[in-house]
Amino acid sequence: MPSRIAQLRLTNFRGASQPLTVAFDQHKTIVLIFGENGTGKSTLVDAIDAVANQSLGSIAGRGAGQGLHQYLRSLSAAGPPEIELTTKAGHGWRATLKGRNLLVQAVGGHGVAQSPIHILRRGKLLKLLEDAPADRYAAMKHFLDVAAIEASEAALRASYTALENECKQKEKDHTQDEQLLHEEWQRHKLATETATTAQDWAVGRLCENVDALRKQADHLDAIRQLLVSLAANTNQTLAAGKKRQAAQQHQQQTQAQLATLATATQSAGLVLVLREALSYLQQPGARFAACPVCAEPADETQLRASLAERLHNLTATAELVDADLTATRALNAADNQLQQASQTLTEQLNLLADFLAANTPAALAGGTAEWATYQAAISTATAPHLKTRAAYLLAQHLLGCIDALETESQALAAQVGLFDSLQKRLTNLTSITRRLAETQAIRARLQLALDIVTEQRKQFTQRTLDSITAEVNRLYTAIHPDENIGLDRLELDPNRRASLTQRVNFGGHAADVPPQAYFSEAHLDTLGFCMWLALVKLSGTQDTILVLDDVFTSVDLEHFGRIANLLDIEARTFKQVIIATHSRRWYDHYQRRRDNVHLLRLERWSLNHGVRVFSEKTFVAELETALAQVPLNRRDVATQAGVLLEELLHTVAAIYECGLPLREVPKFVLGELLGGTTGVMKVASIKRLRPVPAGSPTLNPADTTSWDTVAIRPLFEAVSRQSTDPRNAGAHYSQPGLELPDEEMEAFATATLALAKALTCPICFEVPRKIKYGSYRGCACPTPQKTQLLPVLRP
Amino acid sequence: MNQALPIPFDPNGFQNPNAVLAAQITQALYQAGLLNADDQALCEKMLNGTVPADANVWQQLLELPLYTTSSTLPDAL
Repeated sequence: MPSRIAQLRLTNFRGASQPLTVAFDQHKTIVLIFGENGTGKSTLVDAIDAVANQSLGSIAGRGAGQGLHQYLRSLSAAGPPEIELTTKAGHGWRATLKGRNLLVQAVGGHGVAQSPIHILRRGKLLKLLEDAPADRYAAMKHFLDVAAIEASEAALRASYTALENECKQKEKDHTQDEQLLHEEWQRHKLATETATTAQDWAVGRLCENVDALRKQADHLDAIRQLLVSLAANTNQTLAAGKKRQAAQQHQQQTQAQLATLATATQSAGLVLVLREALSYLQQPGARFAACPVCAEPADETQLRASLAERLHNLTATAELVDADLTATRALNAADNQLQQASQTLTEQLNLLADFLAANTPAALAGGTAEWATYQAAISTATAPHLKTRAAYLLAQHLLGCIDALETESQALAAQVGLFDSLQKRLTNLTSITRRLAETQAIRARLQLALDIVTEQRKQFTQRTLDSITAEVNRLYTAIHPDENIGLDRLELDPNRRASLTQRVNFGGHAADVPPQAYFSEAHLDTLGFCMWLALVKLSGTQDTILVLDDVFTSVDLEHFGRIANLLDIEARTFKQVIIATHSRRWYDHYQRRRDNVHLLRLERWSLNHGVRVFSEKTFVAELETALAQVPLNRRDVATQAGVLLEELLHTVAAIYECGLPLREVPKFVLGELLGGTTGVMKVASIKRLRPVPAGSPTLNPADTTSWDTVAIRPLFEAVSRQSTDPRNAGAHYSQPGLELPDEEMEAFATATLALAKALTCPICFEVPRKIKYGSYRGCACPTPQKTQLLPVLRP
Repeated sequence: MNQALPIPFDPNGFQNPNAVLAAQITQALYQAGLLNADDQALCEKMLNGTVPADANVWQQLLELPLYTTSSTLPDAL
């Protein structure tokens, strides 16, 4: 757990030409390091900066050239610079030089994290105000940087854009499909159709019985194919008829030639007998000893030779016989082919008749007479050729209708095709419409989400900036009450990335101008300080240590008091506040305070002595210490009590505007201050919340029993009774003072201490001065805990 | 670290703006009816960069139908 800085040890570092150890009081939130110029304040601040932030400190950025690290070493130092910082919890860190850089290591490797230490130097006071907008953004980046959100928002935007493009494409497809459907409608709509939109028309068309249409189309197609086949068969039948006719003519010719032969010598029958006999004798393995016809004994060889010779002599007749046989066979074959073709033709016609009986296309509706003739021939004709001829004639008639049938078939096919096309287009259109609606719905959700993310991010950023502005102005108003100036607005430049602009309020006029344009130097200093302090507070204060290095030099006494009061209050929210200053005002201010400050005073620096730091006490602490000493140091006690009492009465007199002698240089003796404030002090009272033991529940400020009331009169009378002589004993030579007993001296100091503790708030250590609600004067604490001083006005 | 400014922030006492804003946005999306209750954690992680932000995941996250009060899905329990 980070804790306060308890000790700094410097060796060979900057102004610490001699080893230096500085201890910080762990019971005090504020440490004031006071020293005139050149006493070593910056050395101490740089030492803290080096360990906390690995920073080269005040020498950085001052144009000292390269190798700044070498200036960290003290003049004439023998060894390397080294700083060791130890906390209240006993954890230490050591900073040493490694090359050109500072190396910070935990002493003992404890692994405990340091408290964040924020250091504000005079030179950086106006940095936030004077920065370019981009640099100002960089300074506040920790509060505003929502890079992860922006990346996620970009992904969401990409998702939305992709869906937007998808929507556009679907809308385009939808329009295109609607256009195509519209064109179909215009092309195919009938005068009898009453639909007013293409979709209605298509829906009406799709109500038709497409199965019947499809069946009719198939029927026509089957008839058409049958007619094509019939055409082929018709041609074949005709060809077969012609072939048979030719074969018959040839056979008649060979018959006529055979008829011209001499019956006795050139008988065609003889040729046939001789051929048969020779063939019989030439059977393989046959052996004949006699003629197989007349049964007379004969030589087989001679018999065959004789038959061959006789046939040879009948060669011309034999050739005629052969030709006739061939012609007869060809005629039979042609006859068979014709019968076959005729049979096929008949079968196809019968099949066609069946088709037409089921449904007769318009193209074939006119052939009734031809069909009747055919039917008559088929049923009555005995000669096959008559049936064939009737079939052929019918087929010829039907083939004459084939073009009309083709046209009818195509029209029907087109009707079916249109149905299919409409059905597909309408289905597609419906599908695209549905998907488009779905995509549009998702797009709308994404757009809404994107709007929410973008708006939330912008609001968050502005809220953060507004909260910074509000905190800056709250702090600034504490320093400059009723002046109506401050920060008007911080806002991100919408046209630039990571650019933060500032508007100031000057006398009620908000302007987009740098504050340097209108603000005085002191106002700029305090505005810069308030902006820095606001950012530090918003960064997290619980473990934070502040270091202010000679920050305020330009403010007047009035504003100084307010700054000091503001710091007293704000210091409670930090772990520790270290103020280094050369201003004696700071030193005096805190020396008069009772409790919460550790005063460190730096004496003049020299090379031989280095930086010299002395711990000092507040007036109250000094007086308490002096009172506790044995033997009593009369002079110290009298002086310290006198100074404390004068400061206290001076404050009361100023608050109530008490009557005091007017002098060119305001200076009052104790007696005058006592006399001037008597009227107020005799009636004054203090009300404060009763302290509760640690761990007990806090008291309710609204409950009157939670408050203690202290009457000031008895305390004031106690110091008034014994004020003159003890004061003289401390500051001046006087006989009464010398003769005053220790007991009275001690009583005076104790009474002064009691009056001081009674009049000042135990939290902010301020005498209540501001009039609240016209009913009491309050201290600098928040309203519920304010210590209250009455009366409001001098009686 | 050699300058007094910009302000170093204390990770213990300072809330990461990404985390704060992620929670606020998630709540706003949920209240707008764009998120299911049990998707809030994923949404918040995606916003604050704990899980990578992805265009498709965003779409899925916001595209999901919301559970109804009569649903048997975990959100209704």
